[in-house]
Amino acid sequence: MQAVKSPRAKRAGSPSPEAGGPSVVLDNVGVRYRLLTEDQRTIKGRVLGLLSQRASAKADFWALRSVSLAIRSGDVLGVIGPNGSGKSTLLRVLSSVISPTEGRCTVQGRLTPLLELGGAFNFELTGRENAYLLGAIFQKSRKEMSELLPKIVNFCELGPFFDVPIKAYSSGMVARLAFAVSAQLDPEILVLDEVMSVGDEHFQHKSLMRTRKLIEAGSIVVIVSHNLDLIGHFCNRAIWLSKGRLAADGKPGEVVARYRRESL
Amino acid sequence: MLTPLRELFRYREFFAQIVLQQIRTRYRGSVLGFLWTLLNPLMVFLSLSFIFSYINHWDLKTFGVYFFSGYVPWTFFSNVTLGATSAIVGNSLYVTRIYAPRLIFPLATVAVNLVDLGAGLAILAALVLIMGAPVAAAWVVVPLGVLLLALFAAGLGLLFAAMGVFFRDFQFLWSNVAFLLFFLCPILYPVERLPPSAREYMQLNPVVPFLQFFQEPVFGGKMPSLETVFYALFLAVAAAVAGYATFVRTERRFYLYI
Repeated sequence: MQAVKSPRAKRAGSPSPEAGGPSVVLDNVGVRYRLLTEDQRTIKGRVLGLLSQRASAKADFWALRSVSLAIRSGDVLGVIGPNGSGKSTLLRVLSSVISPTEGRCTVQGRLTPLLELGGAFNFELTGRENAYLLGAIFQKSRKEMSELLPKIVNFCELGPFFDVPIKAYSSGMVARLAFAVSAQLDPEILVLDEVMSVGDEHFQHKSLMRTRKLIEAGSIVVIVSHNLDLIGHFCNRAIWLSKGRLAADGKPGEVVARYRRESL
Repeated sequence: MLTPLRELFRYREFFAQIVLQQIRTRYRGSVLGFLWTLLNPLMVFLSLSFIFSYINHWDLKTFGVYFFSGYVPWTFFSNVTLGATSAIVGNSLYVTRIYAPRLIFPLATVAVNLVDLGAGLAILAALVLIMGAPVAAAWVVVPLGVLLLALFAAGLGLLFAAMGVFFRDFQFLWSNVAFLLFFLCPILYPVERLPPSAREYMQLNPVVPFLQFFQEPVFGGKMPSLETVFYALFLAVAAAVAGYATFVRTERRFYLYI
């Protein structure tokens, strides 16, 4: 196993130390999950296992393996691949939620992970309260968030629902809120996991426009989607993940075409 | 080793929100709101006072104050350590989907329970006044007791939060141990009632020195002995260092078990 360095330390300073803007570099990254049986997760099971001398088989599973990737400022990276190919794990590594088992991931820039729509939301809280919560996760003070709030209210178009607990929202409304807040936090690295596919046409258009603005400002955008047309049109680079490995990396048109040809 | 602490500071706003959220969701929708915090210790006090003064014929004034001065810090200790066992697993939403220092979750449990401890101490003070028990200058040591107890409970809490991730039944194990530990602490009975041989073993119970920070001044009207102070300080620092080190070393593997 190679030395693993936590990406956290590198993220400590908010502004990028290098003039080159935000960047994400994955060097031979591998993530291993351990499939544990109930007995392996309890003290009772461990003790009984010791007594009965049963050999406990450890099933390991590499969700990502040997992935090397450098994402630079201005990249709009589309990530495609079938279910279970490691897309979400890749996003988790990018956003420091998990540290790679081997290899290293170095992130420079403010990251706004939108993992799994509104993943950070508390459904008992109102839209407004959740906006503050998400802001706090991205280290914005209450004052800074209050200044951003009018823009967020305006963008998500939730009207009176903004002050209603979000358990009453439709999934599209949650997505709108999640996108509106994240995009207003001026991320240098915006991670979008199937976000685009939930909102209605009007909101999709609006969020793509907003994302374009971020790209023009030099942000990195990473989009995971099963919508191949979206990846083809919107991204300027695409990768194809297959069984945790990088199957292709290049122009979105070509990668999507190859993916369609070889796996569909 | 200290990087997670610096991270925690940068995420103080999130920490505050998590704490407020937990307090709010606990009391949302109840008109009595914060009064619920006061209700549980009052009920315990009334029922136990009844048992001991009516059935055992112990003096309510002395016993009530004695019992409560130990029960309030005990409740804090027990709620923090028990809550911490599920602090990471219960917040798996945050732990698996966003990046935030994971220290936040067990430490939020400590913060939320500090609010309850404050309320409990206020009731204790009110009881002392109502019962007409003497108020001693030694009360000034109570804040130090709170500080040391919080440090001790936080240290164990961090350790238990990690244990709770790796062993799903740890919380059931600990809740039983804690129940047993409660009776091993001189809370329901004064330590003087024990035979001298048993009194020595009482000192082995690591919760006892912390309880003495509350029982001695509130009930006995005197400061805890210097020995107790240093013993508690040692235990608190040892627990904090051990808990923090374990948590920080193992947190990278949490996602494998959640």
